[in-house]
Amino acid sequence: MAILYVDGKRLLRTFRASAHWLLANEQELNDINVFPVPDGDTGTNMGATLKSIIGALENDNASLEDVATTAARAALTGARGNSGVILSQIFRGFSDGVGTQKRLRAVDIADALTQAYTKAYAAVSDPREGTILTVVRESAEAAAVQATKDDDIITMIEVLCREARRSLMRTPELLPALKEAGVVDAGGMGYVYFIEGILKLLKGEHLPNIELIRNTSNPAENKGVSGNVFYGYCNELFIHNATASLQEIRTALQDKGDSLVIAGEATLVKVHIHSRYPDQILKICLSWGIVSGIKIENMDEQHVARSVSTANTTLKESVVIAIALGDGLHDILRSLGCDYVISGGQTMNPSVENILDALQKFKARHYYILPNNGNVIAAAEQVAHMVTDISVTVIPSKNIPEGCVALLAFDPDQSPEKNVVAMTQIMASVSSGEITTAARTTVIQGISITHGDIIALADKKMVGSYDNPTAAVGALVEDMVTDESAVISLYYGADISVSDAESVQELLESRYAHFDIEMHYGGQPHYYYLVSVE
Amino acid sequence: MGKIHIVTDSTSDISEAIREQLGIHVVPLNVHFGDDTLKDGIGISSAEFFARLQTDVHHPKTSQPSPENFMRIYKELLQGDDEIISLHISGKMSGTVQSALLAKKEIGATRITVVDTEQTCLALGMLVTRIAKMVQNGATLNECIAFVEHVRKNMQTYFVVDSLECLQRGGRIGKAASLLGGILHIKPILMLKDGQVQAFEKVRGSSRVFKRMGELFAHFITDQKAGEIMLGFAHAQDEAMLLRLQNQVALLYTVKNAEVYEIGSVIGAHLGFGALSIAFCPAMQ
Repeated sequence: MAILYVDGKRLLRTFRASAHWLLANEQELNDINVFPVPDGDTGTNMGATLKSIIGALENDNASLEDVATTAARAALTGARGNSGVILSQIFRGFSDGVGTQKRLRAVDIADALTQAYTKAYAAVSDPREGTILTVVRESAEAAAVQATKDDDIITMIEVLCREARRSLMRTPELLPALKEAGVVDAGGMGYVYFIEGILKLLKGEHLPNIELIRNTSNPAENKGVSGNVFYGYCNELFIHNATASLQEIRTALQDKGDSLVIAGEATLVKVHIHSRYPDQILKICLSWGIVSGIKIENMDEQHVARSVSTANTTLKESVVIAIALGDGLHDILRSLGCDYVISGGQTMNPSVENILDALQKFKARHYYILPNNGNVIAAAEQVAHMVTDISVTVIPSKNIPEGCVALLAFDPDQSPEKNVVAMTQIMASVSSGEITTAARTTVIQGISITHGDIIALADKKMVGSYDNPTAAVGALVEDMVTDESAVISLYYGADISVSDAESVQELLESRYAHFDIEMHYGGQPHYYYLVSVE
Repeated sequence: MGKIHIVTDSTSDISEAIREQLGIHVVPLNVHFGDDTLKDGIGISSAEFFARLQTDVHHPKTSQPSPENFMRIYKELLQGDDEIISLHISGKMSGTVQSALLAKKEIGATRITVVDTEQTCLALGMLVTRIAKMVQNGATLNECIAFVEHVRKNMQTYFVVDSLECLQRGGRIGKAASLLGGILHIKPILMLKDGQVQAFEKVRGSSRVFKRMGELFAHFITDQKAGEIMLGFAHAQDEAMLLRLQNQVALLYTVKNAEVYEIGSVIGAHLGFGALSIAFCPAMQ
């Protein structure tokens, strides 16, 4: 039995089936990501984007036009990650192709698919073959040819799926990294599952029933960590007849906080330091003698004018939104001048909507977005394109070190054009590295990795695998440091103890005596250390 | 026509030798360690101040000269047809110029010109010594005022400190307050602009500031197209730091006449240890 047309009802059922089939295979898509890092996201991102779409398609009797445009709009706002953004453009292109038609014949579907891949290519600033783009295109081209021969939509979809699979199998020939890892492109595979879902529906095959939450945004996960940065305490005290010299006192305290001032002589030493741990300071000082004149002040109270409220109705000149996962990283970004930090769920991947929500908390002349993740840049740029009446500038930071350094160059009183130049320039001067656990066994850039290995990556280049995070950091830093370097900053994650972090710091300080070495608590999951070398 | 007398305040940090040589009169501000009050540059030298900053448990405070201090010197200098040009630290940073204006009002003399130079420390010192030399060569009052205008527009002053603590405590941190509270270690390069402290740039790595300050000077020099310039350095009793900065500058420019200032007790109380500054300005044509 042939199918000669698709109307609103049928398209709706199609989209649901496609989404279900992709979601059923979400984990596999995550598993074949080339980089064996724990937040390999393609499945999650495409899945989340599709959940947004399905969640919006509630009206079973909607017209064809409505189904297509609703899906496209939901895809746009729910898009998450690079693959999600590309998928949303596919939906948009398809919707443009559908236009105001009431029914689609085979040729119309083929035409809409052509518009879909055209939009997808246009959305990517650096479109590469061997990705989902190739799969969408080659399959659409074959479907178009088929539609000229035969009106039967089932046959056309069969051709579509067959060609998509073939195209997918060819992706390792087009992208060497895929070949080395022995996988096909994850985004392309996601698309293949998506359209195979259609075929399964048409053939009456059973599709697994995935429980879809209607409201796709999970508030607990997507809410950014708001609240003020805590600047710490200003501690002042006197030590009487100290049993340590001024120099010894200075050495003991200099890493415990900022703005350290030691004055006096053995009989009476004054200590002044800004620290978040006044108890530690007091304890150390008590070990040297009797203490008096103790003043501990909460610096937040002193800096009332500086406290940033997250719901702000006065018009600001500029507002900076950043994405980061980890409470320590949140604090650091806020202390560098970010107005709001989005965490974007467990894999630091906010949707377009999440980012829009954050922007809407503020009223400003200019908005800046710091994605701090190569996979979030596309979603951020989608936001910038969507909000045409507001000035939104995406500073394309690919990682936390780039984001931090960009904030240093940011001048809230300068125009966005000038800021982009300054921030892009400074980002080019920092190199970024990561220590994490390999999410799977693979070969990447000529190095064999086993699932569970501790691996070091420098700017997306594999450095090696190691027995423990400390050894990994040592090797990573050595790889990253150049003759021009002067500052090494490390952000330790939730899985690293303070004492281990301190040991690493001591190790690096002894090896790189002329460098400024900073160790900060990042609190991020998955990554033992994030390393920045400037 | 009578003489033009040059009066300034002690934040100009002009050395005693130069003061005597050029006949510059300095009204001192005060620095207080607890109940102990000392006259900047008279009762306490730069070296003595920084030594005491290290050992004294009291954090030093500063205060402006009283109008009486100004009245005394103005009356002394206003002989016959003589005039006075009184050049002072920015009114945004100190009430010194206010005291001078009150003194002028009390005396009721029109031959006293009190000027808020919008500068301090080495920039003020460089300005005052230049004007003193101009006056020795017969410059008029108007020519002196024009020179002050030139400096206000063109003088660039950049400096670093070990910690923003002193600036914050002394209330002179101005627009650089935005630098406070950071978690990442930033070495800010500060500047004097519009008569107050402002943040210029956030530098990462304490060793990089020397290179960066040298670059700022190099940038200025390439814009200059030969022609005389004024160049000065100021340090807080740290010759090693001074040398490092001078070497950076020497890499890019053959320094002929750079002035070196020792930061005195009043400016020192607000900047603290590790203060290092460079200031430069094209000479007026």
